[in-house]
Amino acid sequence: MTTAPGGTNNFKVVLLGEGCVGKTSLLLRYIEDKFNDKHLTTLQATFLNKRLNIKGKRINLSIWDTAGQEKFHALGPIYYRNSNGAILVYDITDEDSFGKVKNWVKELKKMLGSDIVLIIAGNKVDLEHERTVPLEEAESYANMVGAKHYYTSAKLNQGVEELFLDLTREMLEKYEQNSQTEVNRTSQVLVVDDETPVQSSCCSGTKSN
Amino acid sequence: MNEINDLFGSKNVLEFYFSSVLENFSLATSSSYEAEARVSGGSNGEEDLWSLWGRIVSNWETEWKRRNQFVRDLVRQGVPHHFRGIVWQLLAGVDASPEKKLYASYIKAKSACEKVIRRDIARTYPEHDFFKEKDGLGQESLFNVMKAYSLHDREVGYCQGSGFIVGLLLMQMPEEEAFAVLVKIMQQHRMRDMFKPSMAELGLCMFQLENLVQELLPDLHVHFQSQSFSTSLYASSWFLTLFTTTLSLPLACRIMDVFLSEGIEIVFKVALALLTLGKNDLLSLDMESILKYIQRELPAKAEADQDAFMNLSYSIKVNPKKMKKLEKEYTVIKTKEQGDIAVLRCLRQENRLLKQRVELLEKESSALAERLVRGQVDLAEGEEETFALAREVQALRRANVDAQQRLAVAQDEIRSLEMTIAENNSRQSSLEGIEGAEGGGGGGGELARCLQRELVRARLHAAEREAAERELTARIADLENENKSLRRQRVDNNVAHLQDELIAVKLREAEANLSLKDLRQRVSELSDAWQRHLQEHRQEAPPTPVQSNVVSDIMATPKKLLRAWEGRSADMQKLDEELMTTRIREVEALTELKELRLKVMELETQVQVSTNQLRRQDEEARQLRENLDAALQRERVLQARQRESQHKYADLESKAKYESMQANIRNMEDAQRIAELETEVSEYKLKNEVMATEGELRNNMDDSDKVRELQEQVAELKAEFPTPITTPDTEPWKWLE
Repeated sequence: MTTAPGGTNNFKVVLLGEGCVGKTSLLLRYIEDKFNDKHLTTLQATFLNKRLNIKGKRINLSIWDTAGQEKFHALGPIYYRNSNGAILVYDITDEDSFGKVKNWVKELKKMLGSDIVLIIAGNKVDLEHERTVPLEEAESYANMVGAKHYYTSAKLNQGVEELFLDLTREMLEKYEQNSQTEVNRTSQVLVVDDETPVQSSCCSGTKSN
Repeated sequence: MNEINDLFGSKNVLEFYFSSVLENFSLATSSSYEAEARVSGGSNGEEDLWSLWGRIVSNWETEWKRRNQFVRDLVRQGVPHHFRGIVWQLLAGVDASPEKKLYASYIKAKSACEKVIRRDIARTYPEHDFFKEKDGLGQESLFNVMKAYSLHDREVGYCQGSGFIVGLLLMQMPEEEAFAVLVKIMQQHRMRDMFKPSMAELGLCMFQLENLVQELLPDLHVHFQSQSFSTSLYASSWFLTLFTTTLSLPLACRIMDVFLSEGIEIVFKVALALLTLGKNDLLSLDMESILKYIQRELPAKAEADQDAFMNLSYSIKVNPKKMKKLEKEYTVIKTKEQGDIAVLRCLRQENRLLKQRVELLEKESSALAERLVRGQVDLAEGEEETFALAREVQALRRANVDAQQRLAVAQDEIRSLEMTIAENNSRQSSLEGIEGAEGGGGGGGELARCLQRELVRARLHAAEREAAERELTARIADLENENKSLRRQRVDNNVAHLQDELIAVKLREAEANLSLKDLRQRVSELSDAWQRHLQEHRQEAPPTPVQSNVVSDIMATPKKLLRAWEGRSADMQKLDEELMTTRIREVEALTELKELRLKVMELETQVQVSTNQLRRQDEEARQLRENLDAALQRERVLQARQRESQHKYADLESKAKYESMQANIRNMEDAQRIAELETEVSEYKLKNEVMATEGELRNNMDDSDKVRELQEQVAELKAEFPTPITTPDTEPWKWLE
């Protein structure tokens, strides 16, 4: 999280989830308002920027899209390092993809603690009739881990805008809280954890290998 | 051409590559490339190329061995489309590979990866005609080959990205062959490691590429670094799909040609060539734009002139030694990183704990600060209060001083008033002069009071003495009681002692009696035994006396013996018996004597004990008597003292009576004198009144006018002030005149 000279808040958001649950589609829908069911498998992390205004604050979201297959996680936590928010996507017609979300929650909590805002998104609600992940289970789980739960359809453009907007609001809130505590601490020893979102987003970000 | 020239500009490092590219590109012929000359010749050349490839394919083994470099160079020029399928198989060497035979069985089997594979099928070449149709032939064969491979190589299984390679192969050859070539690609050219679960090879390739970029395109490397644009962000898919997802299919096929003949090195070369092409543009872009540029503009730039691009790639030299060195470095870094990760985890844990502690301490400190503030507030309040109190005290002091001053003033006034009163009085006294008499009367009263006080005191003393006397008599009584009880107690003690002794003595006596009885019994037993013995003896006696008599006869005269024998043997026997009985009696007497002696001893001891007792009792009696004497003496002394005090008391009483009597008499006298004086005073008063009235009358006559005026004035003043300014109570002297 950095504040650019122009007063813009930069937030890094990462899309995580099993392969083929619709991470890229959600991103494309949000950024370009397009839906392409013929896009290629995502093989390497990529990102797109989105600028928006909330409560009179200029905000720049750097949204990172990642490869879904588990093997790619072995390359290291470069995708989600220094993230302010994470959208954990699953396919409501695929129970395994919901299990993956749980794994991701565990890993993120372990690596980033509570510094990251979590949102769980059940995608492909246009295929409601093929649903296998029970509604209550998903919502109660999200509640338990302190994440918000959203139902989305990138195809029908349902819940996508709301999801990102709410995530941004929460990240802003958390950032303001943190800066508040930061201010409160000025007279004391400043504890800088390399995982706090103090130096993140598109301008700094990751360094691999 | 010129563009490329510009690109390299003055970069010395790349000059060599550039010149070689230039050579290849512009001349397209050299002494060693006969075939190439024909390629660029025109339509004629194409036919020639086809026939050349036909010859090579049909005679592959020998051509590949004999003219290896030539064939390789030919591959670099691009394999003609028609030959591509077979050439790829030949290059991979799958002609007689055993994998082909396995394929049929793999297709029938089930794989754990099926679901994952299916998910990506529709997303592999979705725009390509062959794979477009859902569940069409293309998608099905794609699925089959990938499923077969996931069964063939269970460690790798399925990895996203491999589908694109398989798809490219399927565009050139049937499933079975494609599978065989895929297996070779995986096994021979590092690709298997690339797709392994840890994807360590990909990381290594990224590291190698980054270093090559740093070496060959330092500006770009610096720019990427400044934008935090990591190599894996743009190059991972290049390595995973061999450019099939980046470049157009024809170009991807050409890269595959070279990949199969030369290996993975070509991927690095093409990657560097791409970056070289876009270097100038990239240098001016930010991170997001770089990503977009590499995804869109850069491939188009490469596509624009495929041959030129490929030649540019070939011109880039990658040093195998350097690659090896980088590999070693990478492993070192990785192992260190793993160590670092462990350390980092520990540190993170520690940090978390410390954070918690900090939070706790912060809470504590805030609580303390609050308390401090509260305390300070309390203190300030207290100080304020004390300040207020001090002020109050000051005000009170001032008020006190004022009051005292006023008091002093008032006292002064009073004194002055008293003075005036005294003056007035003195005026009066000049007429009277009787105060002395009054003082005398007072003196008599005082004396009476003194005497009364003394009387009271004397009575008190008497009461005290009586109390003391009573106490003393009580004490005497006590002592006497004590004395009596002591005496009784001692006697009782002695009696008990004596009784004990008596019991002991009686016990001894009983014992003695018992032993005596024993002795008696024994004696009687013995006497019985003796009697029995005598009877036995008498029966046996006849023979034995004969013998003895014989002896005695021999000893004595025979006559005597005879007599004895005849007449006195019976007497003898009797005598013997008597002797024995007497003896027994003697013994009995002795025992009796002993008994008696014992009794005597007993009695003696009893006597001794009793005498002792007597002595003790005498002593005690004496002591008691002494005590009694002492007590009596004390009593006598106390009585004497009492009598003395009673005397004293009587004296005092009589004295007091006398004094009070005298005082009464004096009182009486005084009263008489007072009465006399009072009569005198009343007389004087009368006289005074007479004189005053006389004076008044005189004054009234002189100043009756004045008086009237004054009265008028007084009336006016009274009208002005409802209350009189002076009253006879406050200023009597004014009214006297």
